[in-house]
Amino acid sequence: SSAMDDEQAEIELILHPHPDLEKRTDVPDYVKQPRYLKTTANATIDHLNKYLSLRIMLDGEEATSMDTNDRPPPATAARDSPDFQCTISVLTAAKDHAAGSYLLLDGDTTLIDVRTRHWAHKKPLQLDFQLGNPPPK
Amino acid sequence: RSQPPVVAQLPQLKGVDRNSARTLAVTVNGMTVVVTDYKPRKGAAAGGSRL
Repeated sequence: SSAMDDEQAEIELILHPHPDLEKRTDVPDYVKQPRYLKTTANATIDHLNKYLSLRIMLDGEEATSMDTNDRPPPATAARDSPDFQCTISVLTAAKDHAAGSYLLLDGDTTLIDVRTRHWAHKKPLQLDFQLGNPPPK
Repeated sequence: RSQPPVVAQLPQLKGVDRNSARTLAVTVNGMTVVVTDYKPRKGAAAGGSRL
């Protein structure tokens, strides 16, 4: 296939909460839920990271507006500037260990490169996310 | 920059509700991609077991 075809190809993946995040009791369930996603194969880890931050923010706004019916949902102007960052890693296959190890992925890596380099399975790509620290105000 | 033909045959998620799709466009360094988010189908283990 041509480079153009590859750029437009779609990739489906699951973003799981990292086991350390899953264990945290101070993080609401809507943050920790797995995300079932489809995007283009040339999307980068930075795209995924920003998407996840925005989606968690939007889900949080939705949860808040359902709790307090009389309050309008916050303006969506903030949609392009998430107020925290996530990190994304992949559980790499290890031939001589039952459990692989988590490899933190660089932001500029494309999803098709992650799949090609780090994913030895036929099933859809699975990545793990963690919440980073909020940036200083 | 050549890519292997694996792109043409990427596996799809199983156990998701295709009617639940929500999309969000994300721009990083001037490049915009659209991300579609699906809900798991009720009673299904979406995507199979976790590795």
